[in-house]
Amino acid sequence: MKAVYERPRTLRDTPMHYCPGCGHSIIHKLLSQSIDELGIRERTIVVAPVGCSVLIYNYLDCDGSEAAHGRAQAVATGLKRARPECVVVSYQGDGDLAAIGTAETIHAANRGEKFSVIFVNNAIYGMTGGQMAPTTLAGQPTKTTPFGRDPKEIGPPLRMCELLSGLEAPAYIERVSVHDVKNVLRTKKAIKKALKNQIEGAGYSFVEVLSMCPTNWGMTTRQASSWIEENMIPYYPLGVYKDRGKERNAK
Amino acid sequence: MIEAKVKHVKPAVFYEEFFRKGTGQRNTHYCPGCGHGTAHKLVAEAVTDLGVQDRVVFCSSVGCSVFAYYYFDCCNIQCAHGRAPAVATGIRRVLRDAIIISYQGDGDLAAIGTGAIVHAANRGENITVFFVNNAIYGMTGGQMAPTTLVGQSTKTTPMKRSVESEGYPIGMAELLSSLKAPVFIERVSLGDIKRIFKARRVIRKAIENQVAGRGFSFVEILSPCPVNWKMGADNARRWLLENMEPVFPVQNFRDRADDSRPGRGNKVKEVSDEEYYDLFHIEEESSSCVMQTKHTVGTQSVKIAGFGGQGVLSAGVILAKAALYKGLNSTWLPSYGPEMRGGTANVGVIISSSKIGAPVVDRPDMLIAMNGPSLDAFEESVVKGGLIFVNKSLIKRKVAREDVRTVYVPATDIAKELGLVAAANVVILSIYALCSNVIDIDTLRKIIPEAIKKRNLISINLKAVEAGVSYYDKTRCEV
Amino acid sequence: MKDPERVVIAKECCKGCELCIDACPRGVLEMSEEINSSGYHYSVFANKKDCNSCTLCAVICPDMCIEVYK
Repeated sequence: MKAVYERPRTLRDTPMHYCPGCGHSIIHKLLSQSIDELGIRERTIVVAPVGCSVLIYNYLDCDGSEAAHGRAQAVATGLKRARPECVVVSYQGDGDLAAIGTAETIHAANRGEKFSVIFVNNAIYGMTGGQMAPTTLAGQPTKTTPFGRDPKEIGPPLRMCELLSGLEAPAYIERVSVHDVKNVLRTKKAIKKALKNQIEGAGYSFVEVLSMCPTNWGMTTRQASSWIEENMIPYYPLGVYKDRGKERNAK
Repeated sequence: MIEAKVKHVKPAVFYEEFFRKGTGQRNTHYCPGCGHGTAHKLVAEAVTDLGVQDRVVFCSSVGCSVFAYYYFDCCNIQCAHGRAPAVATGIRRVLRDAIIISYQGDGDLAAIGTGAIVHAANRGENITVFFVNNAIYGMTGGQMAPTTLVGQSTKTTPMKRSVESEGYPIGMAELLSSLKAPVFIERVSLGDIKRIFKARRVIRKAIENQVAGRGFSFVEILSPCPVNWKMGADNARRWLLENMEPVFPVQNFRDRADDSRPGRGNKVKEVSDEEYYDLFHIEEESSSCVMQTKHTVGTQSVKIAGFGGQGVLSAGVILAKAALYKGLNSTWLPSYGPEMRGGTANVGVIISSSKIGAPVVDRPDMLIAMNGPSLDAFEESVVKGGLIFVNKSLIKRKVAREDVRTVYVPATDIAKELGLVAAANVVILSIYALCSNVIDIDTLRKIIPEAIKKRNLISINLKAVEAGVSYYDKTRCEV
Repeated sequence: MKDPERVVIAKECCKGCELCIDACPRGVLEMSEEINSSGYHYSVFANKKDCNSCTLCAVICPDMCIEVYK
């Protein structure tokens, strides 16, 4: 018998620390598969954020760098400019990229830095125990909004894809999800495309992945998957927000 | 004699005299032909005309406009670089009547302060932000700003800004108008008289919006910087019209002032004391937990370890509280990984009849191992002659050391029979209470209702204590 | 060496999230009665004859516990 699905080379054979049903591990796997398929493991640098995925360098068998909270894309900028032949990936959560790192994200995107960003949006601060994130949905209860997020008081959830697609420079912006098999496969495509863009020098690529956090949402994994479908996707529509390659081809 | 009618005087919001530090300085510190002076004047006029001078809190930024407090006769706060919208947010939420003006330059708002402005706008804070965009860092001597035009030469882009290296000039008005919450966003220009009149109307409107409690208003003001652009005041205005305006279109991006939706004055929901008590499971001050007379036990250090979700840390809390109840001293020091669930967690509890120095437990007298990896990790650290409690439901191996005493308890199985796997910690804790001479089982029974936050779980945890006791009675756990 | 089964599940890695159970269109997988050393019920390859090695369980598995053979 031949293996038709096995651990990608880039994903180390160690158990991950994520909670049961966490989307991070799926996204790690998809990233590893993409790196394997493009044959770029030897020249990939993954910049880890602060948050649940802070330990990503334990799981991916490629180069890595840790960054200060929210500053992964500033570090990635430096890495990419010093080592343009490397494939630099910034892997960040919503408490990192959309809150403390808003400025770094906007300016890296606006400069059109030629690296890839994977933005894992689970609408909550995971690692610190379920506080409100900028992406927390209206009405969603969290540790710091026990009565649900009130958009009148703290504003509506921040949509990063929409925000960044207003900028001139980014080459590729897409929002995907990992709540079921079909969407996992789409996410894989998007991540691979973001890496490919970078190899081809296309410019800033940004993939937002809607991901489950069953523990902090206080749900079973099954409920969490349907919660994404029923609550997150209507507010965070999936799809391609910007694709300069496609636009250019169309012309 | 006919009295002259006032057509234009210095707005009353300005101080009579601009008395600045240094000798004999009586005018503004701005360079000749700088747009800041004009922008200041327009803001001051609006505040004067609206009659809100006594309510205005003026948040000035770091940059050329850092000295706004020398000129505006109102409450002034000089904010950390880029953080004026964050300071304004704080004031908004404390002083409901204040009229809060954040006045920032492009090196402040569009660079270091990007995060602060995006989130203040996204929250729809009821404040007014004036963003003076002159496409350069003025005060520090003409370095490139995020708003510097492509092809513009500055101190830090002497070969001119290029898209390849520095990207495009950032349009803050455009960026913020992709957000949902702001009610008013407009870009104005100080390039000529006509535009200044227009700017005056827009600035007034932005403050009016706040007075009416409508929400976040943002006015971007294109402004000349003759000195750093290295040209005369009039050429600078021409350059602004010819070069900046095509990149930064002067137009209204959003005006929801007439929106019939209820005002967004950041009204916070009032939460009653009862709701807070309920939320945080706070009971009325309890009387049962009184200090008892001290008794001598020496010092005992306990390590409880397992995976997150097994109640390792709460077992430590119960133990430490029970010790306090007995009139002993105790410390509780948790250690856990970044994972919420499934990771390893451990807690060191020290119980002593004397004062405790460091709360660190390196060499425990007692180890409670709730799962396999915990036994692997801490078996060696237990002192010679110490006691190891093994949750044998999950740990299939025996303790390898021969110089320690061991107690094997199927805690998870017992807890499962009670219907709450997470009560395994209490089962094993009650066996600990029976085996150790530090706390007794009655203390445990009394402490559990106080230590467990979720009231609906108290009875099942008390049952877990009894289950532990009956297991102990049945098997007489050999120690 | 004996050929591996179509679906090989590393039971000690499994955290019992049950995503694979939902993902399988043929109901091949089940949760165990037993718990592993971390205290989780794990996924087991139960109805072996129904499996056609479609890999969907492995695609959704967050913890890379599942390998599929054909």
